[in-house]
Amino acid sequence: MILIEATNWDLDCESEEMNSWEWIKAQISQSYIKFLFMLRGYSLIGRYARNYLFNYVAYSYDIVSSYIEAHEKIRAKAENFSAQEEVMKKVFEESISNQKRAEEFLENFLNASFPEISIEIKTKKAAFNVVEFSRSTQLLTQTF
Amino acid sequence: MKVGPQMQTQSQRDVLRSEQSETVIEMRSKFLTALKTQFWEFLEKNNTSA
Repeated sequence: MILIEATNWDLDCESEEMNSWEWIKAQISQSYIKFLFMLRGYSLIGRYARNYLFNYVAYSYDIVSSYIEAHEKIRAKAENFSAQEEVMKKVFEESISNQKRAEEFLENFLNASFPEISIEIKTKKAAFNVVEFSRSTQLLTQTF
Repeated sequence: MKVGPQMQTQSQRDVLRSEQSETVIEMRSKFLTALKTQFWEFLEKNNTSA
């Protein structure tokens, strides 16, 4: 829902440049992550802290990677929108700028600080895509 | 009041700019609506919980 809220935020200020990434980044609490990271070494609460940390980083990763994926998909689709080249270029530049900042956050903060969690999430996403692909292929075979 | 050629060109430029910015807003709105639909699609497919 955070992604939809971010888009609503941009839609409310549609006369200004797209800047939803800054809003999303503000929703991801880096200080909370750092706090859990610090607690994970303690003997009694360490296990809980590790679980919370994993879930929170996974959730943040999910937000950022979905945000990037959606921007790429829409830019590919938007080529069919009937608009002047200049206008398209302007909107695409805004989208690319938001996407780049999201990618930097993913690389420099999430991937660099929590590589094991990133790998696990990437594997889960890849597995999901394989299942989705086989499901759609099965549907196609059944139709024809 | 007479409008000089330079003034006219400026006002024409202003009209053109405002028309273009309206088109940008329209395109931005289309883009954002498509983006929102894409996020709903992700949520429906359970591809994301975000």
